[in-house]
Amino acid sequence: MSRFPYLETGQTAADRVLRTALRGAATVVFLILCCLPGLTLAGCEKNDGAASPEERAETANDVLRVDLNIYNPGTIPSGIGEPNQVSAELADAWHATRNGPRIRYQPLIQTGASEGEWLKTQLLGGVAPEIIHMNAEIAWPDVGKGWYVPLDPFLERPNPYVEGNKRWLDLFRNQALVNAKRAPDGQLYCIPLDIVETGIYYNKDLLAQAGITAFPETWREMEEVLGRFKAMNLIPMTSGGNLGSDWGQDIIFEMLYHDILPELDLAPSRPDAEGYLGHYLEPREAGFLFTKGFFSTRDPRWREMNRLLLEWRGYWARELKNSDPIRLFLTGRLATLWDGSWFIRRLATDPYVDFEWGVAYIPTITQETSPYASGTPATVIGGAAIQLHVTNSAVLNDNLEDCIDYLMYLTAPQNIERLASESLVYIPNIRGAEMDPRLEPFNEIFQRRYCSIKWLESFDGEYKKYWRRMLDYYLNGGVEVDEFLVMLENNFAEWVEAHRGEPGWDFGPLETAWKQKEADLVRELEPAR
Amino acid sequence: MNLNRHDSASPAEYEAARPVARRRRPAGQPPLALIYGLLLAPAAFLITFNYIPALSSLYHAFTEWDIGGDSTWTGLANFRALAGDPVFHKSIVNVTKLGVFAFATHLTVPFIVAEMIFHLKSERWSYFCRVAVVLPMIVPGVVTFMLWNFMYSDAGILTELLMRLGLHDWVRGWLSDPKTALWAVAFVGFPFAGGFNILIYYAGLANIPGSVLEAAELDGLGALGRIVRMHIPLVLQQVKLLVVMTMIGVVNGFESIYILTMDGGPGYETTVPGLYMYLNGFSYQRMGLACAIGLLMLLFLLAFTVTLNRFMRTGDYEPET
Repeated sequence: MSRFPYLETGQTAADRVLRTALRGAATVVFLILCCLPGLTLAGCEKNDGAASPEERAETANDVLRVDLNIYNPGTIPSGIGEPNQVSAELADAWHATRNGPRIRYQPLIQTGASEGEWLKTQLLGGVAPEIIHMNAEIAWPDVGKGWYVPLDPFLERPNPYVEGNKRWLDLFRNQALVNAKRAPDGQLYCIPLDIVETGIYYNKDLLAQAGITAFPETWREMEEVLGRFKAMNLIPMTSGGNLGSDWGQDIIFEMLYHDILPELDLAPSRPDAEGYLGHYLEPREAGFLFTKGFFSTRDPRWREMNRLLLEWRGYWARELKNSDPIRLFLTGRLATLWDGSWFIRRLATDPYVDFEWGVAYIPTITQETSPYASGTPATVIGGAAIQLHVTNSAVLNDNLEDCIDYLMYLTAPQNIERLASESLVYIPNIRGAEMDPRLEPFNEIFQRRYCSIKWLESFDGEYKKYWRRMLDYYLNGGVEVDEFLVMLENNFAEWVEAHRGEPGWDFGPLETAWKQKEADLVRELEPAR
Repeated sequence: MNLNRHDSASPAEYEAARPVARRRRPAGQPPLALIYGLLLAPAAFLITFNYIPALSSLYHAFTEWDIGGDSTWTGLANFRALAGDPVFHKSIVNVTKLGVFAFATHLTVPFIVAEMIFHLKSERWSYFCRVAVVLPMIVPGVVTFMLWNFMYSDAGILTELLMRLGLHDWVRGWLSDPKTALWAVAFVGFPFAGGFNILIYYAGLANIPGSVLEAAELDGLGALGRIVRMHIPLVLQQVKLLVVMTMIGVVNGFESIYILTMDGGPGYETTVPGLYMYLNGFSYQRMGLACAIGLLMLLFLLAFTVTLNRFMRTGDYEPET
């Protein structure tokens, strides 16, 4: 063998070095690929999800993992302005005060349209952050699994960070809202830190150009105003995605059914939540009432609701799903935008907004518009925003008391006030916490009653998806109202059939309540004269 | 030793010498074990993530199966359900319309563009044009769909253009209106001068021997005659390839519809079998039914390809001897 083989092969020394390096790299890649299945299997081995005792001790002593969602440090609410930093400052201050663990903010992975599978795996393994935000209703099916800590015993204690407070629970501004977040087992698993609301943002300059001095108060007046905007080649009104049709049917439903809701509410809500929930219809109640003819082709109010919704849609953006409403509103092509309180931040901080704007709410449907109108103000779409749960990790890591103390610290008025003022998206649900004056219109809206049903949220799985799909089809002229009502009725029937007999879907007590009110309620299924 | 069989070495000498030469690895070539070893890992992944799921879906097409649960053998129940499913029927109608449109546009426009490039006298311009038509291919498809989504929106260029031209009545929700939604989806990619198809055609045209082109010129064949009577018959192999690939793309593809309409709406106006398969599998948890749709799509594509190969005769140019 030659001492210089590359001379024989015509290779240069550099070629040879390169080839050797490539071969080595390929071998390493190959070995990694070979090891991957083994490593994967090792990762999938049965695991109780708990860290070793040493790791646990270290975690418990050193760190609390917290997800505050929109308030996490570094978050830029509504995608505009400076990133949040108050939560980081509060964490440092709490650590200094308590001399306990440090707070490490750990935002939950947002998995879009998924059903929270990622978080469930974390909770199942006992490795989720100790404090997380999620809607209470999402946690309810899992509260029996020990994934969330019931907070009632702690809420009975005084909050040491609020002078004179004897009971932490009393600190919450809207007690009915707090009680409405109690799980079906009656226990409270979350701290409803603040409140989110929707409102109609309107361009005052465009209103003036249309010769309108004040935002309309009745549905009829609103239609007239929207008609003027349309004549000006503006988009009169819209909202993001499918929200307009989703919120819209709940709002109209309430205003048409308001007078008979006390009768329809066959299973009243908890008395301590009644102030917020009013005559809220649970899915089971809606299903039962359907079997008696309500919310079907026999129900004249149901037809009226869908008729009004279609009429209203005539003033919305042409594209319901991808209308890009924020761009349209900010560039003066959209006169009114129905959106959440979070939009305030964009309007308030965007230096390029060159028009006057205001916030109003959905006008009232009166008898001028529909014979079924109750004339009561439109109800609230919204409710609790950030809902903080303490997870099983706090118990496993033996730092439950620290978690509770940190939550008490956050809910002290002076602290939640700082968080809310910096983010400018939600209203604090804490007594004594002052809100940014720019959020004041939402405070007024929140004095209204909560809507009596969230229709699409009441349905589930493919029934919900089908309703949403067909609603979209109907509102875009795909089918006439009669055909749409038949579609809804068939979907409703299948949904009821799929759930009837499930736990919590016992129609027995509802049947008893129905018999007492039957004569009055059946009369309501006759068309109005 | 000389290994040329036609030389004077005896067969015995040749055979004795050959194995030694075969065993000897040319300098610089990696050992065979490394080559096969490197192939082993990708092959394992290919089998695990492509072949096993595909074979599994063949079985599950005959079962009722929710993800995470056990599957139950139901025989042809899924296929019977599909036979009576109006949404599936609608999806077939939709994909047929999209297919006809795709064949009409994705096969003809690239051919015209390829012809134009082929007829350029300057090699430099020809090269520039080829690069120009290929360059857009580096933009990810999702970005393209998002751009079209924006173009169709109320704030988009299409609406703006029509409004500025005073054509207010023409403006509509292109993706929301049941009458226009499917065609709005079909028009994504306009003017359909897709780089890949052009390159395939161009390669076919460039492969035509110069002598044939010269002969056509000497025979006085005009430009149109050359295209119709000579170019098209000689690129039929490429046409066949593109027909198969377009059909696969039309039948299997639903990403543009998913991005533009989210769910194949309004109603089911833009739902195609691929999307319906996805929705059944991952939204409605009816994995068995989804597998059945997948199997039907596979069988259709197989039948189409076999039929095309059997009945669409193509032949490369072979000079007469």
